[in-house]
Amino acid sequence: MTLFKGSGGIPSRSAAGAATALTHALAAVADLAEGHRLGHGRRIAWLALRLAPLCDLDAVQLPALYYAALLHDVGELWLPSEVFHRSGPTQRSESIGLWEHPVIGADLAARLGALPPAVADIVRWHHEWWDGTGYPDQLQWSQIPPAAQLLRLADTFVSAAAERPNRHALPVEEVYQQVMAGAGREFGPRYARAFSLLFQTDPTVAQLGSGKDDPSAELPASYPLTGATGENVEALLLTIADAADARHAVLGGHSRRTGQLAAQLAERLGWDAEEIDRARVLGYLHDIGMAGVPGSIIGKADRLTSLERTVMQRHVSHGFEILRHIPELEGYALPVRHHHERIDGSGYPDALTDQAITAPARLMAICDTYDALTTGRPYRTTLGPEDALARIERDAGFAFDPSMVHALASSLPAVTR
Amino acid sequence: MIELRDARRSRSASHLHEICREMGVASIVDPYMGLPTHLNYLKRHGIAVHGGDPIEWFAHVGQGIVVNDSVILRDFEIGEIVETAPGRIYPPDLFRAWEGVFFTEEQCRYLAAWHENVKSLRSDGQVGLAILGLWWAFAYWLQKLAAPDDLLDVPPSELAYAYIRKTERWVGDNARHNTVRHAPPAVTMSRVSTDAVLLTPPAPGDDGRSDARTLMWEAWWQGNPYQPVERLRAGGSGDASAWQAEFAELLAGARKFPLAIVPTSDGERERVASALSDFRSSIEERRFSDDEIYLLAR
Repeated sequence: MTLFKGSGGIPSRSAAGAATALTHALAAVADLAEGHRLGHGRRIAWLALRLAPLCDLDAVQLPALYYAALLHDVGELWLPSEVFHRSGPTQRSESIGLWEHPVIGADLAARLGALPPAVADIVRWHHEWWDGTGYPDQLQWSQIPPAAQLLRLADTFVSAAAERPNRHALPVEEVYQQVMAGAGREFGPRYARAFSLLFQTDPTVAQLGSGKDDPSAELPASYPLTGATGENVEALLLTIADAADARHAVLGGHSRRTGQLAAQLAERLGWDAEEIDRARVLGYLHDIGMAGVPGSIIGKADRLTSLERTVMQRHVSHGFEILRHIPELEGYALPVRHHHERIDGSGYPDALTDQAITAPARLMAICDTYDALTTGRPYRTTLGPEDALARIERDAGFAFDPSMVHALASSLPAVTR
Repeated sequence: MIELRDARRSRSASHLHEICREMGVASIVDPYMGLPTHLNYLKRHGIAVHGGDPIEWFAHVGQGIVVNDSVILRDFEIGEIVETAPGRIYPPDLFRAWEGVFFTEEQCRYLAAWHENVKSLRSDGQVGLAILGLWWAFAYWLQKLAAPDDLLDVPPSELAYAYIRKTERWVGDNARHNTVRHAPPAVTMSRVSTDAVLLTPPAPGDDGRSDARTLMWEAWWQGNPYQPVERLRAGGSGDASAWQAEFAELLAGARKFPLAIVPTSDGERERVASALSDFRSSIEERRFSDDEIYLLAR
């Protein structure tokens, strides 16, 4: 695979391809954080795009609608995960916190730069209700952009029809009735009418929540982000790194630092420029699956129970699942899955040994551990660079690749500078 | 039939908050606040907010979602508002004037019952929340009147219950002193000292009926469906020079505030900026769309 300038370590022919792939990865992180099956945003996009022509939405707005649907809840990544991962109804204080997510998401979409400009407004107003009782701005009627109204309806239907950690999926007929009862309140009547027509005439709509024969699979690859630049790609990478660490304050900056350390070690190991850049990107992406782990587990000061440990360890599989479905990023999927493997076979999830663990995964194991040791965790004290290195050297040959540990030791002065 | 005018978006709370954050505004007054959900947004983000409006029901809603920090309406209290209380005598003809024109006989009975029930609530905060929730139910009925086939028939008490229940989301404490007055803008501005003033007078030529529902709901609150309320807000003359004079008076009263934030639109921008320049030396612009422009004047 060739690295093209401006694509930030993503094996794509252009910055546009890299930005498109990373946007899909970010959307998957948002799905995971909210406790949805992967592809939740894509299913909403599918429904919103099917409704668009029935509501006379101009075709030029479709790319913005598509990306807004993918990223509509990206702002929730920065809200406490317990809102989404515990059972029972949402508390009043949590509802107030939830009100922030459209604005956080809109600001993020605007900052990313690669997306169509209208995405920010659609995300900002996708929780506005037609009767003026939504949030954040209590817009009503045509003050709400049509694309945001379509997204509201598609989000409501797909979310209610899908299983979530804090509630069961509703039967699809019941969800349909719920949507129609919202006409004139949550949804503009014409949007509800269009939905009714589609639901009555297209049986695939009912499959959206079932998890079987997902009709959104038929969506075209996506609308490529043709105007994206190398800077946009970098911004997306850093956003994904931050999103991966957003579940708990103890992780703040972990993925960024791990990426930088990985690049330094890769250079020390004599890897070529492309491999060095890929090591950096892998560092940014390695904990992408942490979005699916509740913050209460990540930040727990006591020993984890076996169930909690299982949930925690699942982050590598989550990351693998996200990346393997995005062609431009699938090369990162296995190293992400295996960055907690140990060369003596005592790691997880596949208990691989020695060279069965790819070099990038072995590198990531060291960088991840070094950063975790030197930045502290609630369950143990922070170590200085030398103590952290000593701890890692102690495990060389058991957990870690000795040659890579040696590279860390020899580059420690540069790393700690 | 009431005309439901589809207003353009000229102001949004989240954009306003962005501006406040950027300009370092820690306190703000809006003397023409209207429905003060935007002040509630700013309050929830830690800004001390003050508001006022010549229309009384707006001021009451302000008591509910701006001044009130903690009082909500519990389920049984909402039930007592939306249903007729056994043994209580309600004036059956209070809103008879609207029957057959805007509302059904049943709806008019409920409007009368709600009017009486809200008047007997214990705290200003609860009154404000109830008025807000009932306003949405009232607006739903008017919408259904305009498009009967599009909206479901919902039993009045159920509709009102759902909307009042929703108001509790607007209640929160920002650990700041927030106030709302039922008063003309000059009075509201004279009583507070803040970092910024938000000036959103009606557009020139607007006869004060830009949203007729607002005036009907004031009549409901007053218990008098015949009450003339159209001149409670400025801009009613429809004459450009008169509007200019009224706006100038407002701007003169707002001189003491270091920053004036004036929402406007592309079509009105020049006229508003020209009036502002007589009172302020520096004017900046934040444009979110052609309809949503803010002039920031120091």
